Amino acid sequence: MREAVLGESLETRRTFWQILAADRYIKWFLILPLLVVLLCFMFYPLFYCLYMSFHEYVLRAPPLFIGAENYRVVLHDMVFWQAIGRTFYVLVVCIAVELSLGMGIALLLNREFKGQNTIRGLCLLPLLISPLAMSLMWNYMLHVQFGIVNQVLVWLRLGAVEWISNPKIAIYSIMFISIWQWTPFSIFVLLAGLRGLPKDALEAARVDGASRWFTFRRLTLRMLTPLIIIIILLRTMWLIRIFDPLYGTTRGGVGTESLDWFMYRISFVFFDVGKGSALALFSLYVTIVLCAILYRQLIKALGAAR
Amino acid sequence: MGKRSIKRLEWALVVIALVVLVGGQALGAEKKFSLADVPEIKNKRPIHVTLEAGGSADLIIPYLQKFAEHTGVKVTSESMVFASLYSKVIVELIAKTGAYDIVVTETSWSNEWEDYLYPMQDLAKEYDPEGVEGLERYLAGHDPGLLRMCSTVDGKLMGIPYYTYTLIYIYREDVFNHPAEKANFRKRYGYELAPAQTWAQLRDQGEFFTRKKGEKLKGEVLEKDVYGLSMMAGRYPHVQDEVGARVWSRGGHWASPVRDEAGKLIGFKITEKDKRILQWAFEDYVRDLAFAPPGTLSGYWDFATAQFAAGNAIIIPHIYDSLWNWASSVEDEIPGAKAAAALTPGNRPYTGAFHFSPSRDSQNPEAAYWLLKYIGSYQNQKEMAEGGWVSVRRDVLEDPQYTDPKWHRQFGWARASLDTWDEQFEDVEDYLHFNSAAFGKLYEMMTIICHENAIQQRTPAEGVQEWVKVFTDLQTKHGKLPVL
Repeated sequence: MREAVLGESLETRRTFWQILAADRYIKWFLILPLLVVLLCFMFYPLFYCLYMSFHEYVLRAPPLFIGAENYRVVLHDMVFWQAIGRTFYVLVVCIAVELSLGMGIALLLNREFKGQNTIRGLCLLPLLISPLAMSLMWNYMLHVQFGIVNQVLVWLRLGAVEWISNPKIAIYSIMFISIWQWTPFSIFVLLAGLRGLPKDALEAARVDGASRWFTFRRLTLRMLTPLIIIIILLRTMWLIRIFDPLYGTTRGGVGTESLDWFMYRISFVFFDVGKGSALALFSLYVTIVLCAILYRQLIKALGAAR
Repeated sequence: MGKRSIKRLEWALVVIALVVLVGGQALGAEKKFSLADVPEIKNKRPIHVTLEAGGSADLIIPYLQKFAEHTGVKVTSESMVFASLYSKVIVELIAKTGAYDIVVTETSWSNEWEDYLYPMQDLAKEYDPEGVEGLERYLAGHDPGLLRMCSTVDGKLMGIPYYTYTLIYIYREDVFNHPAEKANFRKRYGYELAPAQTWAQLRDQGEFFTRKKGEKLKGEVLEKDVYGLSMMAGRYPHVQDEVGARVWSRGGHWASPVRDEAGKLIGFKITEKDKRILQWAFEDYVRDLAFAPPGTLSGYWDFATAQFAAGNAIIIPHIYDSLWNWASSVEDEIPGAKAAAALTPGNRPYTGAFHFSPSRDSQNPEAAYWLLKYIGSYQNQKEMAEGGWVSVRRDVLEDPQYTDPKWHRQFGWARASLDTWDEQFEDVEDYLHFNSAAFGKLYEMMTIICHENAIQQRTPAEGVQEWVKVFTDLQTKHGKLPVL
């Protein structure tokens, strides 16, 4: 009885910090800074963007509610659909090439050879360069007359190419710049995956007389599927926002305007905040839908891998 | 009268002449405003100035320091590239942050930024002991056309110009004067080879000078391809300037001004005549691209000038006079080469200028006013011009000493620009660029449409349709005057 009373009085005398440290509250306490940051820098701008997307606002006058007019205008704008089409084209080609190249190089780097660490280090270099600096660098390297690429081609008697000024080629140059920078990302994710593959399964397949191609297709590739989906997921998110390779080269010209460049132009050149917000949200919806699909595939793949 | 008397008289006349000459010069010099004329500035708050990164910024910084030393007002500066200047500054001005006391303003933004800048006349009334008349006397050495461009529709001067980039025609005079080239040109086209005055002549010249490696130029076998015209068709504002020069030269407008009976501007209209001329300008531009070097479709002034300086092109039909120094370096690159400047075909190119403008949110408009006067003063502009700066002051550019060949590399452009200003003066009042408060946005859209025309993403007719659509939209949203 006395002990119970003592315990009760102890309970009532717990300090604020002890209460906070209790399991019930600690998780909220620890997560609070993150929630504040998210609230201030994610949810508030997001909802403000949503609010603005239903208004006409060009800075000079207060926002005017216009319902879904901005969305209607955007969806009827041919330039928008061209930018969407172009962005998806870039997305599909870049991911396909980066994954193929990444897998090939990762398989090569997975072998033991002299100087492997140096080669791996060199492969990482493009990722370390600022994307904007890199686009400016390629702008000079691909210059039709003074660029080193054409200098080499001319020296080989192959003739100069208008890499970033020919409307039929410029979009591929933009893709090339992006692929050049981001293939190392695929290489290193896949290399990490290859290094972690269970050796006994591969050994068993070899003992059973499976061909290399069969082993790669039925074992290696299957076991790497979750990583491949992660690469696709991340690159999809990044490529929908492709901007930097254009900034230093074509500035959206020569038929290379992407969705993000179009959005930038509307928002920060024309300062049409309402239309820009509608575009930003549209870009967000598309990203969410695509990523949700990929995420489900990832979960499935992870389930299958187990 | 004896010999001695005559001698005395002669001396007296000489002395009188000297007094008149020296006194007159002193009087003239007195009229020219200089740093010494800046009065004690009571407000000592530091001022922050925006600069356009590149050539212009570097030359101005020492003068900002001199001003700070003389007045005791600290001056800091921030350089930004032209491509981001508009976006960055307009946000600060609209948000009234007071981040900048003085902003770089492009002539075509004067109307758009009117609400955020102090008119110079207001500041003169407030801070200048000589008032508005003093300011007007000071401005007498500036070009009236350029001053109009730095003003609003209703005549408020929104800053003082300090740097021009008038489009001129730069060509290889040595090639034009070569007897074989002259004779061949006359034989082929039936008239004399001279700087093109019409668009048809320009195309003839483009065609004539576009030659393959192995052909001859000035009687010598070419070791590389050479092109007639160097152009700026990339998605940058300059492509719009090239097309615009064609539009204005034919009496057309991007949008015609509509005035009431009293002559007051009441709105804009794209007339049928404007549409026809625009379509022709788009078509003409694409035709000329056939004689421009590879890379032109993504090039801007940097590319166009480099082509000329490297001897890859014979003519830059439209290039900013501020690039004369670079373009004329062809004389160092190619033995025997000689650059010369003339008016552009049709004589109606863009004649812009940067002016420094005092922000309405400045904490020290007094110092801002005096700094602007100092930067645009005769002495400064003269010093800068002699160092290769493109002065905006007529009284500097018209100084006869600069016609001497020894000043060719610094002032070879000046006569062409002065003539262009004279030719354009009457028309400036009617150009959309200097009358629309939406021009910062319209400019970007013109650029896109002109570039898409150049890469043939749209036909000229579609380009006109698109311009009519976006002009109506942007002018209605951002402008102060309606589309009628």
